[in-house]
Formats: sequence, C-alpha cells, structure tokens
Amino acid sequence: MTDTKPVAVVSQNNTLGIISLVAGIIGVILFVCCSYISVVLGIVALICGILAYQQKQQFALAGIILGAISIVLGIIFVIVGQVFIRELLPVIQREIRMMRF
Amino acid sequence: MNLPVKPVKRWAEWILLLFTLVTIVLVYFYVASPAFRDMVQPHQCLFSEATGLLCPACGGTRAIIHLLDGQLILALKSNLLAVLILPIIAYGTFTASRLVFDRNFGPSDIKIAPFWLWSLLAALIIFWIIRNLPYFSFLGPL
Repeated sequence: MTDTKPVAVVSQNNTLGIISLVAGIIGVILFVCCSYISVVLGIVALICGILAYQQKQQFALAGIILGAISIVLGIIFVIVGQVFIRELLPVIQREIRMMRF
Repeated sequence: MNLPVKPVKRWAEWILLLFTLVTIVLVYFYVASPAFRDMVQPHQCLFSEATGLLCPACGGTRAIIHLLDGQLILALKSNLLAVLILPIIAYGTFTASRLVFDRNFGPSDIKIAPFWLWSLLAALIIFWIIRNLPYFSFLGPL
C-alpha cells in the first residue's frame, strides 16, 4: 500500500487537544461543587493532553496543565470538602452575619 | 492517516476491563440489594452549601438514581444535563476502548468538529446560570 501525500495543506486535526482543554476547563470550574467529577475530568484531560502533545496539536499543553490542576484540587476537595462543610462553613457564615458594615 | 502501528498497551486493557467490571457490579448491587441502595447518599455540594445557589451538577446523583429506577421524567427534572450527557460519556468510553483494542485506530483518527466541543462548555455554563434564575426554576432538583 502506498501513501499518497495530499497536494493541498490539510488543516491540522486538533480534536484531542480541544477535548483536553475543554475537559480541563470544566474540571477546574467544577472542583468547588463535585470534586469526584473534577478528578475524572482531570484524568481525561491529562491523557488526551499527553496524546495530543505527542502529535503537536494545539492547546495540548494547556490541557495537560488544567488537567493536573483539576486532579490536585479535586483530590484535596474530596478529602477536605465534607469536613469544610461540617466544621468551618457554619463558623464562617455566623461570622459574616455578625459583621457590621 | 497511516501512523506506524503501536503495540497495544496491556495496562490500558486491564484498566478498561476493571472499569467495566466495577460498573456492572455496582449497578447489579444497586438494583439487587436494598441495603446497598440506602448507602447511596447524595453528595453534599460545597458551592451550594456556601452560596445557596445551584451548581450544574446538583441533583446529578438523584438523576442517576431515578434513571436506575426507570423513571425518566423524574431524572430529567432532577438534572437535565446529567441525563443528556450520558450518551456523550458512552461515546467517549466507546472511543477509548476502540483506541485500546482496535489496532487500526490511532489518536489522530478521532475527529469531532471543535464547534461541538466548545458548545458543550457553553451549554454547561449557560445551564449553570439559567437554573439559578427564578423563571427557570423547573431545571433545579426536586
């Protein structure tokens, strides 16, 4: 089988890079509310980003960085979040209510 | 595009197999045993607790529970996005398993128009804003 090279320059396929970027953005946005989803999306963004980086696609590095951030934040908030809701949040809300502006 | 065929990564096969098995076992236990069903509690949302607003995933657990019970309308009322996003997750899992098992299918063969990927992000953000408006309160969880 012979490879025929296309005459015109084919526009680069950036699908993996954009998947990685979008998953990373959603993961970083969602870490406050649902950290589990954020961890999963971060893993998706990291894997897609690495695959895209090997093919020199656009947005690959951004996706890798955002994926790593959302994995780290997600794991921290999975561990800390429920304790934060139970212990710290009532205190903070009470303090805010007591404040005089 | 003909890339040199890479050997299939064994660990990726095992991870996919484990993922499938765990999903099947969890769904089986959920449907079969009432004790396990009682253990599934909705996850407390930090954003919702702190601000009183709804996040885009609020009601997601309830939506999946209603889906497993076979009540589609209740699931859609709990969280529209979580139900509508399931086919996308299914397609993603299918593509990932094709990447692992199909030797003629490389990462550069995945082609989705960028418009749809960006509109997914836009849909999430619009859904987040809209479900907190009083007029669209039917989008919130019950």
